[in-house]
Amino acid sequence: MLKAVTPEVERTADAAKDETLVSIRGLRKAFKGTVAVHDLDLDIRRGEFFTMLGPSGSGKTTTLRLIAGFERPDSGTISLDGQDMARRAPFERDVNTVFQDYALFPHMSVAENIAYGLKARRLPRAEVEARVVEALRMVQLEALGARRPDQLSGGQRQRVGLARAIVNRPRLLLLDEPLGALDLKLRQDMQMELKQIQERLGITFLYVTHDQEEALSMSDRVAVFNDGRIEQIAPPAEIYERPATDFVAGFVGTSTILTRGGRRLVLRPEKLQLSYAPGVFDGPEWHAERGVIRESVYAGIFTRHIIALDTGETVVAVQQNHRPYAPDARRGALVWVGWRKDEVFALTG
Amino acid sequence: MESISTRIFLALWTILVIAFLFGPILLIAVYAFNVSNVQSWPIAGLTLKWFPKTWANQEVRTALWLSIRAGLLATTIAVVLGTFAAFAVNRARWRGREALSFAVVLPIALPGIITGMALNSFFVFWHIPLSYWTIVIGHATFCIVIVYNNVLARLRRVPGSLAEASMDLGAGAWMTFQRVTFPAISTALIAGALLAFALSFDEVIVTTFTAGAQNTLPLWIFGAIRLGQELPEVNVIVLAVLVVTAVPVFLAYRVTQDR
Repeated sequence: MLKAVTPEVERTADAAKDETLVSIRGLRKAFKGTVAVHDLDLDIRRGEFFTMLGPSGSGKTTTLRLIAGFERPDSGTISLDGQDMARRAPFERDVNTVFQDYALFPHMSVAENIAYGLKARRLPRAEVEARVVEALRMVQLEALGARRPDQLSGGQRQRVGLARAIVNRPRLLLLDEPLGALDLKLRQDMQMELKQIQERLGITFLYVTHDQEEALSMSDRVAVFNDGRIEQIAPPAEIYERPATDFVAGFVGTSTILTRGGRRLVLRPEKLQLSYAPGVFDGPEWHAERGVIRESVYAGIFTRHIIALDTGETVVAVQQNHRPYAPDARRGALVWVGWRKDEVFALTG
Repeated sequence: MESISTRIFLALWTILVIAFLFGPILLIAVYAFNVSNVQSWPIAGLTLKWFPKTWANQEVRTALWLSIRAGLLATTIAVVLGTFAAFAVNRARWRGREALSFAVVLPIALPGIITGMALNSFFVFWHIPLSYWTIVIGHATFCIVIVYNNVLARLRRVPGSLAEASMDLGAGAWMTFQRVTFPAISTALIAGALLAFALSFDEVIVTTFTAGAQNTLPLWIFGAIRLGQELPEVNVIVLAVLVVTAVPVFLAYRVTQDR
């Protein structure tokens, strides 16, 4: 899939991983009185695939635009390798962006688009050409250098947008929902490819998305944004398994929050087990409750059950269909919902 | 699906509208080749003799030259000022933005006679003699609108991310304008300039108030028709003006269709 990476680029990948590359302190931005980003603090490590996840209007894109230099912060600092660049113009920052709408220059060929940043930096012609060829190869568009953007498919345009940014070998690459306009299959392929390219080049990726699955499957760490603030920064598994707040529990994955014995439990659908007879979830490690199946939705890989517990609360459980579809798992069936106490996470606060 | 009778009716109606619009023009075109200098139907016979005769007419030549010079300069002014205005208005909101937009577009909304009279009083008040320059100023007032509207419409369709991408890739403001923004608006600019020239070339009303003793081509035609003199030459010139104005309009249409 990925070919030819120059040794020079590979060396940067070996740089110390825990070193902080980007350091954001007290970053704040308001638009006409509406605060988009509230006094944000954030550290991004060198070589990391860092994702800002959140619903639209949560401030993640504004944060990205502040780092790119398209917006000026009201206050705060954005340091790249220890240098504050919060008030520098976009062309004075060693940062490149992959745009959601690709933003390819329509009157230039693919190769000219990719060469643009190198020409802006007045690199010698031979080097420009060599690096364009290399970038085209990296995104598997070797044959399409002479095409115009309007002669490409959406997926190909996205690759050109990526090549145009990474050809400059920035210290930090910003990706603003780059896969948002692609269909599901292509999006999944591109997710893998982006991740591979990132690991190959060792460039730090700062990725913005509202798609939690994308965030979980690609990132080293995820920051969950809500209402201009960060709710939690953690590796994907921790975000999912140990959400810090109600918002994170609800936004990342599906969950039901039940209060049992004074603790607020985050019940993930796949962690709940079902039985159509009592007495299965005995033993001290189990907790079981009785309910009635309200709705059962067959979805191929799994079946999703919506269950009304005897307490009146509703929980969602999924069952892998690794056995033929259970005929007794139907609407109105009496069911016991069980979970292992050590597998369920309790929210603090 | 409409019935056959409806379709026939619509077809006939369309033909009538087209005949109404283009019939008179066609008639003048035919008269330009009329052997007789009396305009009556049917024409007496076909000839090309009026063409060299018109070309030899010194008054016509002077008027034509003045029209071309005024059109070119008014268009140039319009391209520069109209583009600046369009960029200014397209930028983020600022105080006076709506006012500027209104002020620029106003001349095309105002009746020409008001623009003409206003300019005339202005020149007279400041003791500025009517000349080539006053014609140019008069024409520029409405030519600016054309360029402005064209460029602004294009700027609004060009995504803001293009300029951002350019700066993100290390290009400063000048390179971004030169390599990204200007190419994106160039066809709109050309179309605007062509339309502005066409408008200037056949303008009568504002010119009447700003030309003084000189004649642009349309003014010469107007004078000749009023006096009932040199009518065959008028027909030839009208045909020429038609071509000179229709070609830029057609080109402008083609240029903007591509995008």
